[in-house]
Amino acid sequence: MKQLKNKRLSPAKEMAFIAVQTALLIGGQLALYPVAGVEVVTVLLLCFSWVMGPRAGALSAVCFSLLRCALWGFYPSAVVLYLLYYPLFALLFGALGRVSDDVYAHFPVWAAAAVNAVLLAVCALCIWCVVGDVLKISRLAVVLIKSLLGVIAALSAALAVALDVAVALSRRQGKKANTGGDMAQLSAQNAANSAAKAGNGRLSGGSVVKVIIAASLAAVCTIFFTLLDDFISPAFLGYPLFSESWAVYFYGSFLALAPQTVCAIVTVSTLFLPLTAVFRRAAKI
Amino acid sequence: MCRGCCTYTAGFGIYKVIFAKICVFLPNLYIYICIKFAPYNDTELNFIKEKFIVKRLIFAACAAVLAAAVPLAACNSGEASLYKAEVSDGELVVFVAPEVSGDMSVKDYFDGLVEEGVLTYTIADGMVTSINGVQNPADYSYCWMFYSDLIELDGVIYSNAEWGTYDHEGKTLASCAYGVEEMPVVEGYTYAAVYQSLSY
Repeated sequence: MKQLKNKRLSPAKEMAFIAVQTALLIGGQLALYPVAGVEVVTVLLLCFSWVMGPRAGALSAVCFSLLRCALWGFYPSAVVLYLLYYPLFALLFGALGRVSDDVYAHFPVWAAAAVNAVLLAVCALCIWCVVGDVLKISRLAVVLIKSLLGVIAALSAALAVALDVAVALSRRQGKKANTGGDMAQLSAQNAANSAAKAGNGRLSGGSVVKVIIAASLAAVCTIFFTLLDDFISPAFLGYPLFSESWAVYFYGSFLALAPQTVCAIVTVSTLFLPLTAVFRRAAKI
Repeated sequence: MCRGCCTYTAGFGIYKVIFAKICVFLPNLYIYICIKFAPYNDTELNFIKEKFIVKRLIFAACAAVLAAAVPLAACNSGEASLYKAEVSDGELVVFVAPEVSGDMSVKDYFDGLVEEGVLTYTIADGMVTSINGVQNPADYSYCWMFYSDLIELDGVIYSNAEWGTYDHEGKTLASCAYGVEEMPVVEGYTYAAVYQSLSY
């Protein structure tokens, strides 16, 4: 998959893309806000930032945040939360999109180990919440939330396994290309050349790794968003940290955290490759 | 009220089959879309199919987990012995929870009161928007707020006096920490919906 790192869009084109992306984000949020826990802002902003870069992503995140507040009200906690979180999110995935394809195709072992550690930590945390008596939330919601946390644990474990398999397959492909005979080398070269020529949306050894990295980090960022809100909103409401009021707010946030995290993992896993291909084709690079 | 819980549980096998079919169908649909919009030669097709083993593993894992997890989330609403409100008008609704079998939410009890003709209400996105014809205004200068003397049960806080209180016939009710769909109705506790101005 090509990157835009050495090719800058013209300022007018960049502004147009940012405007359209902002409209997409607002439209997606408006369309899906009645459905609790389901949102497309994460996957859309992620893919846009990945392709267009951190600057365009961050600018569209700021525009989206301000427009969202204009529509739903300028509540101080919401303004701070959205203007803090979404630009950082866009910068993170914009930076990841700037990393060379070779790195994803030959993913370093230490990086794979780090991602595995994060995924297994999320898995372990969810399992702890499910089996332990740590969730002090309404008994009418606790079963559903524990089910969703179980799903997150399973998805995290599946992503870790998939990452290890994908990295191993990519490395095996690379070794075959390096150590094989003329025919193996030629076929591997042909496959690589065809993939390079085809350009957008083509699957390569590193594509699966990218999907898993994106989905994993999207899940972690979604969890971070809710935890950030658990500190910002109570602070604006005047609740002392770790007080009873704060605890009520914190446990209540699980009603949003669990479905949003599942949604982030599923949408990014399934839509990352097609959406990045669409954005790249739209940029006509 | 959640009617048909028994039929839901009994018919769950059909939903499992449908869900499993969807989870098998989705990866194939995904492959079809990729192939349709970006034609590949045979070498690349084999490469793609090999790589999709990983995606299918993930989908299969998701299907298994979700199919196992959904029964846990099956509806298990309770029934009340009677549906009665002490007060029901355009500014105040108060009821004391009677004997309840199973888990019942305030919304379920309100549905029972509606069936008894005691009140009418509308709900949107989990928030009560009107009771007995009195609606929340668009600017939310006034709002239907819920209070209860169910403060804590089994280590879970259900109401918080720091968020607001309402006095009714010598009882001090605290502001509910959950919406009407997550606030449980527990026998002997008092619940009140009050139409009042919001002050920040």
